[in-house]
Amino acid sequence: MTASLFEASRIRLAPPDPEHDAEVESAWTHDAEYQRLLSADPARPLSPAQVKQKYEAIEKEHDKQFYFAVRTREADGPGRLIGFAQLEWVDWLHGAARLNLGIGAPADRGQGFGSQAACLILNYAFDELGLHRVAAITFEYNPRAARFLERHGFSLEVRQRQAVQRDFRRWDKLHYGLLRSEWAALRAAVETSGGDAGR
Amino acid sequence: MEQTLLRGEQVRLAAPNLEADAETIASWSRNSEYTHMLQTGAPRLWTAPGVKADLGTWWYDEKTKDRVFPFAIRLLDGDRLIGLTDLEINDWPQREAWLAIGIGARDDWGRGYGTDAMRVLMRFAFAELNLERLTLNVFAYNERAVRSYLKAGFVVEGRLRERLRRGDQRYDMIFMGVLRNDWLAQRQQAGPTGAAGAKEPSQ
Repeated sequence: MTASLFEASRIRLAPPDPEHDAEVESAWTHDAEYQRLLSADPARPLSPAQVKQKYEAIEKEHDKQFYFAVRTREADGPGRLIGFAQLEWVDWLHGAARLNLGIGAPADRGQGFGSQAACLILNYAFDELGLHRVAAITFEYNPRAARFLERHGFSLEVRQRQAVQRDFRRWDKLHYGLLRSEWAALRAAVETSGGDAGR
Repeated sequence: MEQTLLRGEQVRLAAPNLEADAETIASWSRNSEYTHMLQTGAPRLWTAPGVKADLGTWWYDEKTKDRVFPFAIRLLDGDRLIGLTDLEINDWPQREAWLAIGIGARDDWGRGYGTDAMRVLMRFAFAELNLERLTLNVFAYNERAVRSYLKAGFVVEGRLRERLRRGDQRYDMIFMGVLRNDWLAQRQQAGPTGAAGAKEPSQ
């Protein structure tokens, strides 16, 4: 019970703050590259009002998903919104869930923020929710996400061949998985590297 | 073409008729072995009104009707209802559907009905809906289903390790898929007689 569930050295997990965050997240959704790295859904820009509706929908699902805003950790003030980390499709019967994680602005990527957020939310998944496994998906055209997942202990479990259509060709959808025992063996090393590993 | 699109060697795919069939569908849930193969959720006993409400919402909702295609599986011989199947397209731009199939009564298992229905469903998916691939999940303890899907032309694309817990045991969830090109090649191989089940009238 010593480690903080919501705070790492440079970021923290926080509830979304619709009044201020919707504007920031709306800007991310105008970056089609960001949307394509995250999801196979057609990229659609969202207005701040639409982002607020999304937060409200998430709030209603609070027993099936755990959604956190990722903010920079500042000595004073709430910190800057830089991304999100989410466990969704929590299947309590079998102890499984899916992880989604994104750092919104290109300038904030590659700084280790995502790694710190991943460590926090994986600890949350296994220690707090008592899950047995966490899944994550990415796409053949996002090798950076694949490396990120591997660095955090995930194994490639399924290669769904040619499941995604982008830019006039088809790409594989990759399913990764991390078991509780695997995270237990790896967490100390990943946390110590402070989210600076592999760069 | 219309006569054969939804017809296999032993079964045909028909519109589900919940008014007439809900009682039969509900009776399948008494066998928890069936529900364990069909879904991750805990087995529940279904009632005829419950089946009508749940499946009715899922199959005929205005919001889902352009992306969910449900069928009753009926025997050609006697027209008895033996199972259900559906295709769900999550996202039309990706041209992929997820499918589910179940043969309800234990006496109807192991007779090739599911494989036959699957071949008809694949033809519907590729020839009628113009999809690029089909995906399904099957649980590792359901070896008969895996064999049936392999026979129909699916390949194993991977497994989510220990995804299911049944009692004290954990089991993998297997992903299987078939591409439009796999299916076309399989048809070519089967030749004009359609021995692999992908039968079309030759004229």
